[in-house]
Amino acid sequence: MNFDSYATAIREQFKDASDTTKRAIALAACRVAVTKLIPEDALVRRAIQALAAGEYRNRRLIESLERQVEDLDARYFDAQEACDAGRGDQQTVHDLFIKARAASSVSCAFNPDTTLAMSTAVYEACVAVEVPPVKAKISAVITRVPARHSDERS
Amino acid sequence: MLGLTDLLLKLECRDGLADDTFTRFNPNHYGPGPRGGQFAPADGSDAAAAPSRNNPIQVAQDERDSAEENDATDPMAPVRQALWNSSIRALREVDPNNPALTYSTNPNSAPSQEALDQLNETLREAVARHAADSTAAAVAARYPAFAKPVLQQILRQSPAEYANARAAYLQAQIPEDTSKHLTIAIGIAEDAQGMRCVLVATSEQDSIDPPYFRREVRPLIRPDEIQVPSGDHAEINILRYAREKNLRLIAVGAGRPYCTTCGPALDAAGVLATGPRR
Repeated sequence: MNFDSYATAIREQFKDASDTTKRAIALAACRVAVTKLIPEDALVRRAIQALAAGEYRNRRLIESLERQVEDLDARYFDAQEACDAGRGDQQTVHDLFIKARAASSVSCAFNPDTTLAMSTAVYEACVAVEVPPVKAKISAVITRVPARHSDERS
Repeated sequence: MLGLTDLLLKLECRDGLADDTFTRFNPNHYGPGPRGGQFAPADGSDAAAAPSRNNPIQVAQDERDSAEENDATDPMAPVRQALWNSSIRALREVDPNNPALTYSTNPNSAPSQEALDQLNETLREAVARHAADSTAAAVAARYPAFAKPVLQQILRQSPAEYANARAAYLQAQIPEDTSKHLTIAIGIAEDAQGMRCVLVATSEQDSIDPPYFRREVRPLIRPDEIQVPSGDHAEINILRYAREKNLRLIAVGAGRPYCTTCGPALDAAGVLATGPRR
């Protein structure tokens, strides 16, 4: 199963689940990607902690995170253009691309629409680190959270 | 019945209205005629043509600002209102003289699902009637779900217009800083049976098959649009895919001007490439 079909399957499977479940899936997905690709990034780590604490509306943190994703994407685009001009290598481009996707998965997880937060975080995380590790982590998480839970209000 | 999330996703997929302020409309006031609301002219007369104290002027209206008091009792009201506003905008573009654009309103409540269904049916009919117009192609590019019954006709009659408009629409969803570096391209191709299809490609170099689409674009890609593997310029990806799948490529539109490689390549392949060039 590729990242696109896996993210779609997750969305279909959990679209009627509780907000708690969707948030837990989003967090699990982006945490896998960050741990593997950008564990040293303090801002992204702080964002992960905020997600884990249920703080989804920290505007300053979200804006900083979005700028971080833009910066990582800018580095990826620069590397791509250098590569196109014969001044770089495709591996560097790939490495920067997946780092940007890892950070993007965290940014996606803050979406106020929990279904979108879940499906986009899973999609970006799977692009970053491929499906198997994300799938394994999500499988572990959904056995621990209740299938239904009161809707998120904060 | 659709859930709130489904409707919101549907809404987002239609025209990115997620950030719009939701407003309200009273379905009792929807338009004249036998299906009109309780305040519509009972005789179907053109009230706007002869205003009087008993026959108020009807106002052409689209997006309504209004009160919020129904929130607690009808949580779907804002969703219906946003869908209504979106459909009115589309109808105004494709058929500015459509009678459904003129009606009396009560600004204090959202449209009923029945009124919304009626408006959407009107929009479908309008798109079908105007399928040969370039305007219809441009509107269909933004609301492909509405155009589905007549999409083949549009792809046959205005392939380049549709490709250009659809590519421009998807490209416009990408944030400006990112959009400078990426191109979304749309191809219109025909298979051996004469059926036309829509190909969508990105210039994103990594994640080749399936291609990676930015979070702003991915929800807008229709299930019946073929996502072309990446690896090169978006237009070249489409050219290559059509060749590999033995499709006759009719037109290619791009979200940014064709570069000095892609423009001549499309010309050489005999493909309609009517968008701007660098």
